[in-house]
Amino acid sequence: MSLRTNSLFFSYTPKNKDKIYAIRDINIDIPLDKTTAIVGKTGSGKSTLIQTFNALLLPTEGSVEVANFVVTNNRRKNKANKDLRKYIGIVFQFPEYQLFEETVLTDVKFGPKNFGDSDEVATKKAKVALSMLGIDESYYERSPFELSGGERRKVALAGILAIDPDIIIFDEPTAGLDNKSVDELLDIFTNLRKIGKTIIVVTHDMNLVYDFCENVVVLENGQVVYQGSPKSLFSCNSQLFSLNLPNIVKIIYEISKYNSNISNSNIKTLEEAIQFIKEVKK
Amino acid sequence: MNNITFGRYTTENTVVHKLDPRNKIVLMILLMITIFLPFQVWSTTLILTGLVLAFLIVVMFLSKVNFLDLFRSIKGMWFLILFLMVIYFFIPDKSYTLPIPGTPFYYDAFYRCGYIVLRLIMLLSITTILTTTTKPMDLTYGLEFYMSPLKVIHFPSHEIAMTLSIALRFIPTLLDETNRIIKAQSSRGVDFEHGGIFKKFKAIISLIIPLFVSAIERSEELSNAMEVRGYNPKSKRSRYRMLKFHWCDLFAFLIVGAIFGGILTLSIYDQNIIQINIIYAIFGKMPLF
Amino acid sequence: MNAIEIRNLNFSYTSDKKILKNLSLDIKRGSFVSLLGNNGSGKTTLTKLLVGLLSPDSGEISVEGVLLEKKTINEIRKNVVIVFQNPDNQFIGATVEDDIAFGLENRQIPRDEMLKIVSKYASLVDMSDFINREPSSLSGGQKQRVAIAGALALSPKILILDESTAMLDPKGKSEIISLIQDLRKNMPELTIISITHDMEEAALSDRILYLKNGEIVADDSPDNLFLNEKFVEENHIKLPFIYLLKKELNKQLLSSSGNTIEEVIKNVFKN
Repeated sequence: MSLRTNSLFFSYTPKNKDKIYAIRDINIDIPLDKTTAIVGKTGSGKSTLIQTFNALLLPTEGSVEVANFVVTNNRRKNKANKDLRKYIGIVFQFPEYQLFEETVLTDVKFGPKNFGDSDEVATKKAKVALSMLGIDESYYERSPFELSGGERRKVALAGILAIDPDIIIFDEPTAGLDNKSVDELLDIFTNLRKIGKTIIVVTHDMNLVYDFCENVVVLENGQVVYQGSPKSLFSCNSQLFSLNLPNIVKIIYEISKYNSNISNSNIKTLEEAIQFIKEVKK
Repeated sequence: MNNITFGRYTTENTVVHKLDPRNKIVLMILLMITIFLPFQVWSTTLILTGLVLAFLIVVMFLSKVNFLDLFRSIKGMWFLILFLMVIYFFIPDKSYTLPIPGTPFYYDAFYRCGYIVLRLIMLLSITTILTTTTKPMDLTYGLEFYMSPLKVIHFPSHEIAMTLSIALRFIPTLLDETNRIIKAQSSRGVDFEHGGIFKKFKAIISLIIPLFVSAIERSEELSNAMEVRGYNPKSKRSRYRMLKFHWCDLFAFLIVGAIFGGILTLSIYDQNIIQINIIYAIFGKMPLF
Repeated sequence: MNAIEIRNLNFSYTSDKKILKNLSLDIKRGSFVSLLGNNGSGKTTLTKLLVGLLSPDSGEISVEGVLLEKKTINEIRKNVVIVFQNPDNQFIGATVEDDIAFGLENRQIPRDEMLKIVSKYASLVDMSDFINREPSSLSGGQKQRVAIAGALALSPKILILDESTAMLDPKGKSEIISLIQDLRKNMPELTIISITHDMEEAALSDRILYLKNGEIVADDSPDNLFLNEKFVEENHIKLPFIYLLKKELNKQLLSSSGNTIEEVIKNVFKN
């Protein structure tokens, strides 16, 4: 099972003669049993790409295929958009700005109800999602607007989780969060993976990519310049596509100046790197 | 949201772009008045209007207005045009004098209707010229200039100009925000395009409330930022932007002034002394109307 | 000489929850201080109090020797400027130059002088080539640089950065950080107070204040604070990577000196 794109092009001004493509000729294959990161500089087309995945943007050329869904630029063929959006949920950057209902619970129920669940089922799903994010019953009847920024973001996240999508895409989920909240978010990711959800994360945080993701797609100027495992991406030092290095990779690089064996070893954590140094020193 | 192109400022460097916005505002008003000056004879009205139209077309070429955009915005008025036609044909004016034989309609209705549509298009052209050649912010400066004498009667002209300029500054930001919220809510299953009235209503609510909440938050932060940088609406400020009156401004003023003055004189003459009939004067024949 | 002196400051928005509790604090002129703490710990409230956007329940604040009162607010605001978090919401002017000039217009600086100041500070933040640009065509980092220029154009004595890098991408972040480093070199008299979540950024400052539930629970140099294992653990502080590395090396009784990863590793292999 995978999410595939076939020669995917997208332009925000498709009618112009000399149109500029936000993404060009994207052919990627995202395995659904792995956590995938999509990285690249601001303006490289990451956000555009993920929005074609659930047909928020329709491809100018090419297609996206996932499960039984095919997204093309033919509006009529995209009748199944609603089902697709139930299958793939996107948590946008700063999702706290999509809350609008009077109470936390009704806001979280909003998604499932839109996708056809009865009030009863939606309530159940909402409660499950909220508890997964550590928001207890005392919050249910409160207005989302009186909550703190971090709590609001959790409620917004619950609003997507309650829809129970199979694939969840996070756009810069750690932006503007303090360290405690980032750790909480990583726990949530781990839990989501445990219950079989596919996570795709758009991020600038290379440590997150290196520590947490099994697959990475690098975009540059709207084109895919790398897809594969983070480890092999960061080991080919010569070709880093102007990405920042994860910290552990910086260490490995520095150590390799003194002992070239490390480049071929399987070091993934700081502890392992220190252990390696210790052994070499002996 | 990216399809609102009509009348947007273009970063060209034409003579019309260079004109002082204060001057352009006056010239625009003069031209608008000119279009509406009355004449007793239809043919005279049409000829003089045609003259102004020719002038506008020349200016539009000079200022590199995108004609395609203009046509699009005219197309956008189809309903108004249709509405006018219905009014003119089915509610005949008492002054109509040329019945179409065998029908309850009058030839005059054609002329009237054509004329009013022409005037509308000309108004649209004038505003398009103004907005494509003048930065919105410069327009506000121009307006503030004309409002400033009203300060004497405690009219908040500076506050209005500041509010206007900030509103203009935030239009792109809020459009982006709108776009983002639409997408976020679409991901939660909201359908902004289809569905009955109730569903549409709910969809709009799910857009408007978050938009308001964020706009209010933005305005709070903005007011803090302004206050920290020493803004106080009541105290005097110096000015970074200077509007300059160039030689070409005088030239433009003379041309438009001549058109306005000439047609105004003719109109007064026509209304009060003797009706002017250009076709008769040239060809010695009375036209049909 | 102290740039800021705070004595027994108390503040609450509602009567049931105190945001700041009996806070006292001195900040030396020309120092670079980081203010850390989780969301809701009172950091932003403190900065708002400093410039009189909020007024305290009790306690005193002096800025550059002037006691903050209703009649001295304007005088104090001449010395303190704040650059906020959201790059969009503090861009007031229509273009880069208008925005830098905004504060100068408020101070009624004559136009000739304004022209000079604007071009000076635009080039200081490396935005001279973008002087006519509108905010919608700028990146977040560029907008924040303009905000800093607009703030510095007022020749303040204290610059407060209120999570100014939080919404930026890594490129924007590093642009701002290197700009701050430049400012420290070129304007040694300027006091910089930075509120941040980013420990890598905090590690660059002279002094870290850690705020928790309205109280300062730590006030120390980055070295001392980050190497204080008990404190780091208690407060779930995510150590800057260089400190994490040193800590692990320490555990293994290996040498752990140096200020960059490169230096530390070099020293390990040298000894």
